[in-house]
Amino acid sequence: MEAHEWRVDDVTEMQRLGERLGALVAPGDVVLIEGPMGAGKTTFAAAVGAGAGVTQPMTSPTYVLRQEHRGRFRVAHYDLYRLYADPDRPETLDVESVWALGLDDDLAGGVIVLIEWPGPMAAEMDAYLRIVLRPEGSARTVRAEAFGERPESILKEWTAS
Amino acid sequence: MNILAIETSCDETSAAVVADGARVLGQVTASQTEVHRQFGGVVPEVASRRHVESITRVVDAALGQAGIGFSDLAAIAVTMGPGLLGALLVGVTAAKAYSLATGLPLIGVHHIAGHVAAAMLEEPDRPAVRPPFLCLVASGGHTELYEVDASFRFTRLGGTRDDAAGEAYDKVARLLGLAYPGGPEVDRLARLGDPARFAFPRGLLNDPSLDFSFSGMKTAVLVALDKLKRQGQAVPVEDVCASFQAAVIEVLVEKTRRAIRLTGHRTVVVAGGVAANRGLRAAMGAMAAEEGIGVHFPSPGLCTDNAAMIAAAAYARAREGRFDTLELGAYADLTLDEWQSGRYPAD
Repeated sequence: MEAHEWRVDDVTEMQRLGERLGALVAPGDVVLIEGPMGAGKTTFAAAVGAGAGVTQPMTSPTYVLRQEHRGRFRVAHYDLYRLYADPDRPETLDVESVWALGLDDDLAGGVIVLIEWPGPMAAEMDAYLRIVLRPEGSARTVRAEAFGERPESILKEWTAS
Repeated sequence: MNILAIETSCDETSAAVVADGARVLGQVTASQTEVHRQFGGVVPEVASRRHVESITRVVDAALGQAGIGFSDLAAIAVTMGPGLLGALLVGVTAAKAYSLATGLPLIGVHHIAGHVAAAMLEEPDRPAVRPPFLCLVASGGHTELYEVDASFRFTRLGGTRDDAAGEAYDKVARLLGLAYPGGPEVDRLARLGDPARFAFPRGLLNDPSLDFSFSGMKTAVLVALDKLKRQGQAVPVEDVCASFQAAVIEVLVEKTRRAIRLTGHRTVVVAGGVAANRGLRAAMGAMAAEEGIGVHFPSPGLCTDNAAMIAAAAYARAREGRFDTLELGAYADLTLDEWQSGRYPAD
């Protein structure tokens, strides 16, 4: 596992960081986005999408659970928040329902997968980039952990970009 | 023209018979709110199973209430999207089966067009509206402003760039530890609190667009709660609700006012679950009086998901002779443009 941590002072800086990551990801890549409510997970996901060429606004998928966008690539944006009995307890995720959303098709390739509130889903993935957002007032710590060869090379390029 | 409509896009299994797109002859809705309350939200797998269990019973009961049979119907309508795919499929499959068995034509309806069409239903205490009008749709998944023309076609003027208004309500309710669904509870507590106690941001209020942003308000509530906690103070729940609600409502009302002035419409319809919010109804009514326009809210029972609104939207389609075939599919993220053009997404 490779890891890197950034500190961003405001939302614009965080968006720039997300867009730079978006420019590096391709179909087949998985980005898990964690952090408490209000940390900016959807903002970060939307920035990654924008970097990957999505031009329409990427609104919160909380209610629809999975929302697909098209840019240079297809982007599947998940928010599993509503599938927890208690979002603060990862073990309460209704994993069966997550698969029912079509996640295995998305993981088979052909689409960039972004997942907010991934909880225990990381255990089901072979390779992924895990982003953890920690709010400190209006600043944020953005921690990235790369699991697998391809995510590690993305992380390397991202930190150098 | 009697239309039987079915709605199963989320957690209500609903069937209705509506005459001429306006008079509700019968409507029966099996709610799953109690089931999902135990989980803190909608569980798609549970929702789909419940729909399967309820659908034929609900359809029979709606026809019974209307006192008519399939031979008195002109068409069968169903919500085809957007929504939870598994839940939508139950309704679409049932509607196709009824259509095949009876030979009645099929009409697929966009869920949001349905919410807007709720205003076109006759109700005892208010007149039904006819398009054209301006419409604010505010629900858990949507916050958008549309112009609706005389033939019930939608032009989007603006919408949320991040969270929907109803989503912000539910998340703030969650932060405050209130029960699911949180919106009505925040509305109730807001009436007991001080709306000026916290100055929450009015997202995009001064932006010239007709877009919305509610994500920052949710974050601001979080920051305020954290600060209280650090200072060891009790959370004034009523004041937080009142201040949050004041911020959301101000933005919704002022953007709607701006849209009215830009388009010159004389009628505004407020649709979607958030239209049941009492604070919003009062503030929107006051704005309409100032602007000298009419404002129409469907009664609260028709603001939440229901099949009568789907029948009303289907009637507008039927009048244009637009029907679907048994190939009709369910689409989790169907857009209004896709529905209007009839070019549904490829499977």
